[in-house]
Amino acid sequence: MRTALATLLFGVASSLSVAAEDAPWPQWLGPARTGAASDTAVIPRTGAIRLKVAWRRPLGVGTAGLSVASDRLVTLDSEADKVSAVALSRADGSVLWRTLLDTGLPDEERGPGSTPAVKGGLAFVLSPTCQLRGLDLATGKVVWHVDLKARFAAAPRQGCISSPLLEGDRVIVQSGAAEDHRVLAFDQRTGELSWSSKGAFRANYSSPGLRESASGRQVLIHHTDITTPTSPKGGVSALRAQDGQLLWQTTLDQSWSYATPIPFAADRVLLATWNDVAAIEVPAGDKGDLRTLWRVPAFTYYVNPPVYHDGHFYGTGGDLLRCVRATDGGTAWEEKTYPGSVALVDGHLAFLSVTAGLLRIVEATPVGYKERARVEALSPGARAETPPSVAGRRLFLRNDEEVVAVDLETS
Amino acid sequence: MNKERRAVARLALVVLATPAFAGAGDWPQLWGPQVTAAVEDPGIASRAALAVIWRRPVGSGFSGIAVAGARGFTGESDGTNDLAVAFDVKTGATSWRTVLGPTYRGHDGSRDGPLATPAVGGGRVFMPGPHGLLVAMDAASGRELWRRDLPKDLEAKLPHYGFGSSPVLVGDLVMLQIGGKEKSGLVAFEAATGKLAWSTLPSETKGGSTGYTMATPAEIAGTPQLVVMGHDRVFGVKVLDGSVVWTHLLAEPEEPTRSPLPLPNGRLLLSRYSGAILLEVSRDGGALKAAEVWRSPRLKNSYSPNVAQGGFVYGFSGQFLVCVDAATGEQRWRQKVNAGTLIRVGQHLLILGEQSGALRVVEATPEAYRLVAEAPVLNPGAQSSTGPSYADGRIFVRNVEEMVALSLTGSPARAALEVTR
Repeated sequence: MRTALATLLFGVASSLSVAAEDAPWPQWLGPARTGAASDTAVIPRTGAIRLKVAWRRPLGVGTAGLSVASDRLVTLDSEADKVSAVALSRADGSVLWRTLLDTGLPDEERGPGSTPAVKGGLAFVLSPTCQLRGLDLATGKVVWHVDLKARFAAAPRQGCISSPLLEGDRVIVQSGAAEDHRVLAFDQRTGELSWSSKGAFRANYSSPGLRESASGRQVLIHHTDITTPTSPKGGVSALRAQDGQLLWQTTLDQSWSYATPIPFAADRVLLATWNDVAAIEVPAGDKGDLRTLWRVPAFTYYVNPPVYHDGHFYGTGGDLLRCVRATDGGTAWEEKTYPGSVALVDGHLAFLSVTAGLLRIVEATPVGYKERARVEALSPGARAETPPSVAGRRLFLRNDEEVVAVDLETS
Repeated sequence: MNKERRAVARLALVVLATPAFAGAGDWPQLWGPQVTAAVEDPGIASRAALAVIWRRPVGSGFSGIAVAGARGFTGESDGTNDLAVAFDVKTGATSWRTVLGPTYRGHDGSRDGPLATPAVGGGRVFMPGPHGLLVAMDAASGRELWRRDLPKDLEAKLPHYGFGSSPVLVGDLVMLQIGGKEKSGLVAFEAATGKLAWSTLPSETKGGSTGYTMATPAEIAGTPQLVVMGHDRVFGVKVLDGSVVWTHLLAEPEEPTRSPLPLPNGRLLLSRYSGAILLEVSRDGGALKAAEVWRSPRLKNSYSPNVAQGGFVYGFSGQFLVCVDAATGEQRWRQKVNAGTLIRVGQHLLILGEQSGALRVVEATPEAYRLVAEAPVLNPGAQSSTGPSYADGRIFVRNVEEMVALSLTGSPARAALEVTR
């Protein structure tokens, strides 16, 4: 019903009703912005399981993730200096539409880095030249367009690579602009500015996280302080989702990255940096000092954070996959796997190697490293930094040359 | 991969003219005897194939491999200390290990261990540690001969990822490019004693630290020089005394990514993040002066060296291997390959894929991209950022955990490799 109304509103004739409300992986780091899939009962606890490549298609350059709507994937890629949004069929990877967004980008070798978000029949895409658009999910046509560069002077050196956040009726972006335009919220349906942050810290390249607190939703920003170039610092701040007001912040010494902050337990936030990971306690009512509960070099992440499951974190530090206790940051186990990204699927890790193209399913348990299945899904040699997206029993992976669907099967 | 991580893997080297005591077929320092990442080897047939000779574990570090005679040299961390290691080139067996100091801990994407590649000549090995200690050792025994503490003695600034400049030997001098205060950008020590022979850093050079920039030996207009690449300028320095003989300003400051490549007739190829510039240095009255000949968007965005052969330049431009006409800058061909580091041995380009850990042999010809042989050599899970070395028919490659020696033997083209693990 809502989809039909949305279609009518935009006057786009579409024989296909794309129910984006059913989007199982609607944005960067999934439905709750924590890297976890919502489906349960996907992986049987006992018995053999295996991974099988369902389909494989060529794709252009980029680290932008794959968002999954009811029947399609949406991502960004580039070919030389042309950046496009592309929708692929979930069933077989065929291209449903491809929309050229912009020509020119700061780094043709990296391609676009922003993962689209999908909701309400729309796909929200941010191109490296800082053009934010709402596209019709069925056809790829541009419904609204905000030029962040022209309007807010957004011109970060590495381009706009932050992934938009879905929050209620808003799409929130770290724009790469300065001062009071650092974090911007737009109405999903119209692209009208809903609010512009006040007092937010510099955070050009990380992607916002989302936290539910007693007083309402908070947008978590991993900011960086580079006033002393030889010892840059980083930290996390929270903006009220309602109006972009700065609520609290903390800055750590000697460590930073672009990893999304992850909320856990009722009052904690995990901040993963390039050298270590810190658990930060947010005081009740957001008033008072923030405490760093523990800080350990267990994980080393630049863009992707570890995942949280049942009192433990999982991710890689250097060449080791680790399970770390949320209570005290102690390592429960570690296994040499080389670096990789992690998504959580029904109590298991979907672990994708950065360089070896290997996808593994590993139990998310503190007992020890228990691998259930593996497959060489991407070719070794093509760097795969983007974490997997998940929809039911199917995992979607991409690198700079292809997109692959892999199914979890029981024998 | 982002720029910072690439910077870690591709740290600057100071390159010098032909070392006085290099034996035929040696690879006495990073990027080889002329520091051009190229050697001729008439002993290798025009068609080549790859065969693994030996494989051994090595400790963490980005240090490359230098070779003199029967011994190879590299740096590694054992988890506690950083060490210089000597090994037998025929078997890989360790000859000696000498502790340099406590290990430099990896951070911000880097790994534990030494960054610089040792240099070997005249029976001595010179190894800078990442904390800034330059240690000279006896090549046969590893016994320490002398050491200099660069931050303490020369007020050198520690770069963000540690000292990564590799020494180059010329005559009886050991030269090293370090950053820091005035007059300490490029330093030359007496190889025998460690006494400072000269130091130079023209005060006009902006940007403090030159710790990741590179210099190349070249004979230009009859003067043996070192060509030094800075953020906003390139200049030539006399080997004899470090005096600056010419300077060319570059309009847009940018971090240099590759050694200037000397070409015939006083020409130099500069490759930066955004593209390449060909300079010609010539005599103008009593002085030397540089002028731009052409600019090209090719040969950008890579820390792998460019190599020259027969009027053409081969190198990476991002993910593409390209062949460019040295006279005009025009591209002859390009091929998307798994990016990595390349060196030239005769008519062969040897490429170690950074992500793939595979070694490729590609023909150095302007006609087309021609793959001659390929072999999986290092584990693709472990990133392989260190460049290959070549000496006396053997290729040496390593990453943060393994080192492998291969032979480049003459045999039918496209012979497949059996890797003995």
